[in-house]
Amino acid sequence: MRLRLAGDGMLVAEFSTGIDPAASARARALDAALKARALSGVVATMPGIRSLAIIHDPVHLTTRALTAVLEELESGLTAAEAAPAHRWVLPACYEAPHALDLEESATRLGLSTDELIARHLAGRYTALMVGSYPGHPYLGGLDPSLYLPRRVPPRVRVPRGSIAMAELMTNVYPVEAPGGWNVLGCTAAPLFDLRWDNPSLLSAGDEVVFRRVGLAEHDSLLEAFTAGTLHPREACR
Amino acid sequence: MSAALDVLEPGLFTTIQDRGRLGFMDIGVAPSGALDGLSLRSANVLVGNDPGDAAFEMCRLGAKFRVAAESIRFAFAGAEGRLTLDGEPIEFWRSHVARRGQVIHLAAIRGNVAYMAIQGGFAIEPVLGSLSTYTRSAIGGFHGRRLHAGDAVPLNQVEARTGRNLALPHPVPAERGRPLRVVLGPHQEMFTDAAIRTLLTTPYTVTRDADRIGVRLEGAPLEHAGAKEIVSDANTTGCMQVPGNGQPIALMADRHSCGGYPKIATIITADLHRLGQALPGTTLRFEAVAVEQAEAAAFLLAEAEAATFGRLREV
Repeated sequence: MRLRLAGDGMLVAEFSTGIDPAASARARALDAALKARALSGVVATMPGIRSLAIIHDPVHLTTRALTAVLEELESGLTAAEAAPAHRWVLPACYEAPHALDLEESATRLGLSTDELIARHLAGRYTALMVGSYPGHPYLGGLDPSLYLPRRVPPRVRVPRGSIAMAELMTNVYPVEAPGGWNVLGCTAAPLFDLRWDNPSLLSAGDEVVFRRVGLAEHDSLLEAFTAGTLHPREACR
Repeated sequence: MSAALDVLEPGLFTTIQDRGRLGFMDIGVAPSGALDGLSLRSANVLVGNDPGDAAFEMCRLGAKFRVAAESIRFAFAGAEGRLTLDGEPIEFWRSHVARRGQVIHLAAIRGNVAYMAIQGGFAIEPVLGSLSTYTRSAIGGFHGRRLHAGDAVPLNQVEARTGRNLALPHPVPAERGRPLRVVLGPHQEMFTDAAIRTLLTTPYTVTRDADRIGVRLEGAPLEHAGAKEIVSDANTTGCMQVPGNGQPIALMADRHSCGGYPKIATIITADLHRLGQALPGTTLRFEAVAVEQAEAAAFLLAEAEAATFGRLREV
């Protein structure tokens, strides 16, 4: 564990500099241990792809005091991998007009589009981090044979629901946003809604698999989710 | 009976902000909140609110309101500008009472942000525990957005509570020109020694590309020692990220929760309110301090603030 100072108000416990599911799991375990401690002065925490960030109030919890607690908690962590908190099955439509970069990605990888879709569908992904945008998951576990860099320049607008991949991760855009990931398709499932008790469907550590749907099913699911007759916490289990 | 402030002129970027939406970093929600927390708290204590309550944050150009309540008690703090009640000049750093139909107007602001607190606050439901507006995701505040002309912002109190108006001593403007203090890192080893020296010895100009998300700075480029990107990790307010062009961006309250550029240094908590008042065209200098010094500065600032609020006087 390497502790990195981000000023006097955030400490980052880093377990790897690369994309590393084990480091991510360790960050989540440390987060759970810190939450159990209910340490006064901790403002927010974010388990990430390779680290745990702790935002704290420097007047009530100094870096030195927080460091001591983190070192103690880290030494007590067991190696056992925690079971994922939730497993989600997200509907995925890999058809036009949603598959913005499917053909180009397949060409660059030397695969047929069917083979690319099959390899993306075969993945069992772990949410390594939820961030950047509300509810936006960074999903680890992408088949390394699907490695592609981000698009340069990035798209100014990636549509809401887009399922995309870049390097060793895949993701879902909860809202329309700029982004450079390669868009393979779209999910009808909403990932973030302020009307829910927990507005983010996914938490770090959750497992995600994709289920292929055709355009007609995608459209009817989208209609039901939008109308509120379907809730992803029931429909995507 | 309802009470509201009618927006006659919205200003440039007027939003509702409070202490911030804390604790939702793990689902990607920015903290938002006042860019200059010290001024937010000053405005609130002047009207008897809790210091971290919601107020209007006006950026560079103030707003014009008509009172649609029996009366309101209000106070302005932060960067000053020509402030009038029915055209008559009134002062910052003290509370005032305005009656139904009266017009409150703050013209151009000589600084980045000013705050207007209203006794009793806004009749708006908090979102995730806060009234702060996060416009990028349309979360919180007045319909998740900045104010528009014609809006009627609902208030909790139909009339000002009885009692005298209060005043605070004007804050000492001695800090102008002093460097912003930073703690190096979290990724200082990803930069050359020359880059660290450059950051700490040369001025950086605040560009026009400065908003609640971040402040783009322009100056001598900061050279990466090797890779120009990292696997994304956490951001916090005050982090100075450096993209491939070597020009730093200081992250503000509406920043992304994480990012893929190395962060050379982080502005300390005690100086964040000064970053919040940084105007395009002005220059900033940076000075490195140890984290213990940063903590001492945060403690001293909290003490000084408490002492100032203890000197509230009736006017």
